[in-house]
Amino acid sequence: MSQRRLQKRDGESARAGAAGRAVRGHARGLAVALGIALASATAARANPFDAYGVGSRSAGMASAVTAVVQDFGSVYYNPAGLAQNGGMEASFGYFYAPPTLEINGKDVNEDTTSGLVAGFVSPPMELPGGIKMSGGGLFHLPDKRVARTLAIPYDQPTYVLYGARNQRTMVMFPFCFELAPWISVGAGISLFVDSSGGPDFTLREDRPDNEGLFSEGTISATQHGRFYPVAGMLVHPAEGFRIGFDYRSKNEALYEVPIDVSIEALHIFNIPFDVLPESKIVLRQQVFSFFSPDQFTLGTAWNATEDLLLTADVTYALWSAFQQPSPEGATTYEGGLALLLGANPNFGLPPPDFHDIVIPAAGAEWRFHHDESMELFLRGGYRFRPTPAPTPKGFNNFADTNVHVIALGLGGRFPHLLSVVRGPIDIDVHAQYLHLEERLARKDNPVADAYGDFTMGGYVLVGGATATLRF
Amino acid sequence: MARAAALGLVALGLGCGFTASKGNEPSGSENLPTSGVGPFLKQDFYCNTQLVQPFILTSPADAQRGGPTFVREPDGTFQIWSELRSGDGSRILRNQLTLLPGTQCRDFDVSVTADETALDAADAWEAGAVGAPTVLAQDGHYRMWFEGGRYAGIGYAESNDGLHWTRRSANPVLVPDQRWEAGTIGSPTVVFRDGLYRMWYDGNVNAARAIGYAESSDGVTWTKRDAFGRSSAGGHDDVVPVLTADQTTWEFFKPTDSAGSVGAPSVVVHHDPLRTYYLLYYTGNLRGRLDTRFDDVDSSIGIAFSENGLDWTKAPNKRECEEFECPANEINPNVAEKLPISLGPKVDGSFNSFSAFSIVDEAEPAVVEVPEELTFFLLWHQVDQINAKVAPSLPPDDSSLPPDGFTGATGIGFAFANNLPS
Repeated sequence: MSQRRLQKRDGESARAGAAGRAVRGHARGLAVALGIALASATAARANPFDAYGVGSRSAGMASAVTAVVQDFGSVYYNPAGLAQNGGMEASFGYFYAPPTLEINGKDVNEDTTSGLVAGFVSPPMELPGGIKMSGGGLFHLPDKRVARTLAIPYDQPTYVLYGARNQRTMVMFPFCFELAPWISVGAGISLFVDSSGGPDFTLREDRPDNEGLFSEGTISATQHGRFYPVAGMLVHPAEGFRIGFDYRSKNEALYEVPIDVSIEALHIFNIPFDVLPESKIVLRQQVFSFFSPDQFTLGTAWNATEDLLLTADVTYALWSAFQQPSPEGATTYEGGLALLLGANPNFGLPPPDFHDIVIPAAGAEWRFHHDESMELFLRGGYRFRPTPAPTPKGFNNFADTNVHVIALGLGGRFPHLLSVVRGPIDIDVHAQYLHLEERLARKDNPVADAYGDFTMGGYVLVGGATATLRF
Repeated sequence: MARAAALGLVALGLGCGFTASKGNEPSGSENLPTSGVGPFLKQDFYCNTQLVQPFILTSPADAQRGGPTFVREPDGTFQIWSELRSGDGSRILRNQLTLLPGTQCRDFDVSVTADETALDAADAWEAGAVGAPTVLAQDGHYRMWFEGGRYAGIGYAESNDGLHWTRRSANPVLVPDQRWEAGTIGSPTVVFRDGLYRMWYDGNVNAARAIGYAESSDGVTWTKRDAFGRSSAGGHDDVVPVLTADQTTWEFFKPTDSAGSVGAPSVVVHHDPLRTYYLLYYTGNLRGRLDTRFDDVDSSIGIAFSENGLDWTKAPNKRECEEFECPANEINPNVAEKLPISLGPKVDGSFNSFSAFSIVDEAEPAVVEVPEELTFFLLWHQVDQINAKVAPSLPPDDSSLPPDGFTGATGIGFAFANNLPS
């Protein structure tokens, strides 16, 4: 009785407190070990770009750019777009996305996502057969930390697609081949790291050759590099008309913390047998984080006039593969402890039951001024991201709603701004308003969890700027 | 000019990128709603003892204190009424409680005034015993319904200050007249909603105790009703209770018994953005504790909800669920874990310990919700064979060891629940 009560109470207090105290059941030892493992996360991709876009030009068009992107954003939106670029260019920028996400009309204080975005596009290289090859790179560095993941209790209302979940370093490297003037293909990788590891130690009682109870053990940790593919294709079937296709692979990080505690046989006084035979406590804790779904995007672009570009994208995102992001673990006893304590029931967490979604987006870019010294562009776009999350019923309380993204952008191209660079310089700014529709979570039994019914909704304001230099 | 603007823009971006403050590490965990489930964190008023000492009111060694009820005044203080039982008699005491900032091992400290007798037995039907009060504050007046004569019936009184009470001549206003009540009713809780006083009470206290329902337009003349549309109007005696024991692992004396008991209700009207419903806190296994240390069945507090006050759904009890049908965290108590009553972390971050061999009874809850603070406060009648030895005889935070041989005391515990980050 005592052991089970103690574990339960640790878990309850964690639920009542802040998320940092949320690792269920096994309290601080595991939390520390998990924290060590999480701290080793180094590179990831996708979520901040999925949510807020890459670069001010693309973000200002609500990311409806699969068929027109050709700057460093090609690395993410469509690697085949790199072929449209004629030289070497480097871009860097910054974005800031403070959320106001509410439960029952009150701000839950989700973390701001912000950071640097940088990338480059290499000049095309001629290959045999008239094929041209280009390369590039894309980096995102959050300005608060390299990466952040929170161990949130599974039933706590949580905006699972926003907040801290978008704070992650991202690294992507693609290559592009222009097979013919009307078709290009591209592919690349995004780098990811899984982490696992934890302590193994042995408890040993007082023995004639030892003095007192002591423990000995080792700590091990392993990082597994993972590479997730991205691929794209760009086709020019007619003058002023382009079609793009892009695939971004699912990725996620798995952090595992195995802890094995070996306990040697316990003797008391001179009783000629073991009071407690040799035992082992096996703890397994894991958490999935930084999930991005498989995504297939089809985009089109049409130069309606010399100064007006219209675009449309549709993305199919396989959110049904989303795994429970809360820490999940099991504790089992072996040997003498199993005889003493019996089986330790380990209840799994319920699956999140997300579903696949289709995301439409449309954008426009209007060149409203041009002369020898500058070109000026006004951009706009709209994107609708339906929620992949089921209505919360208490087993899970994932807070997410349909999201309407309204984007605006302003850009300038200045051929003679800096003499140290040979090509024109682009300076773009953008703003987005993400409106999260109000959604109701009405429970069949509101006292089946600590939170009951609730409403969710809110908004995220995004602002950013990007500069591109050509050499 | 354009060049300077461009350089400035780039510098601003880089500067923001490298200098943004970490701030207070927001985690999206603030201002979360609470359904009233808890967990309720017992406050420890004797930090230097190993066990949690949640008592704010205790009793002499030859008496028992229980049946609390309380209201929150506009100034944030509380008036508490409780029953002091001694021998065959009992009376109702009044105390005033002020919350203070927590110190040492607790989130709240409290200042409690001395006992004052609010109501003593006077009428013949009360047979020397009044207790188990419930008090409603309305328009500057207080209305009290109380148990009289050891489950003989429920009386009614009014007061302007909470201390001086005037009984109604119609007492008792509710008597056991339904078959299921088996001649005993008591432990009323009353709320006022939609122009009606609504009362839940327990009956059949000597066997399968259950909870019944009655309603009144004036608080004096009551009609009993049930979920099947039956009413006591016209002298009918076939109204049935609205809540009975069915979670065998904690509402039954032993899971193999043919019947359990639920009683001593406390009801809160809870408003959330989608609907208004009743929360019912009640005691399971009111037949009392038994020193069954490894079978360990004792009285605990559970929770249920209802939209109409008649059809109730209890919080889940995992042992009666299949995997995924119930949350991983069990809500209603079972033999080993007594949610929503639980030990919380101390303010200093350490955890309270407990005794595996302490039979802890939690019973007779009283709950007040403070919606604007997303907080529920809980008082309850606690019997703890070990804690009871300690609390009444030591001043708060006395570092001396508890004296041996102190027995017989019970007390009123204090706990709270919210989902604000600590």
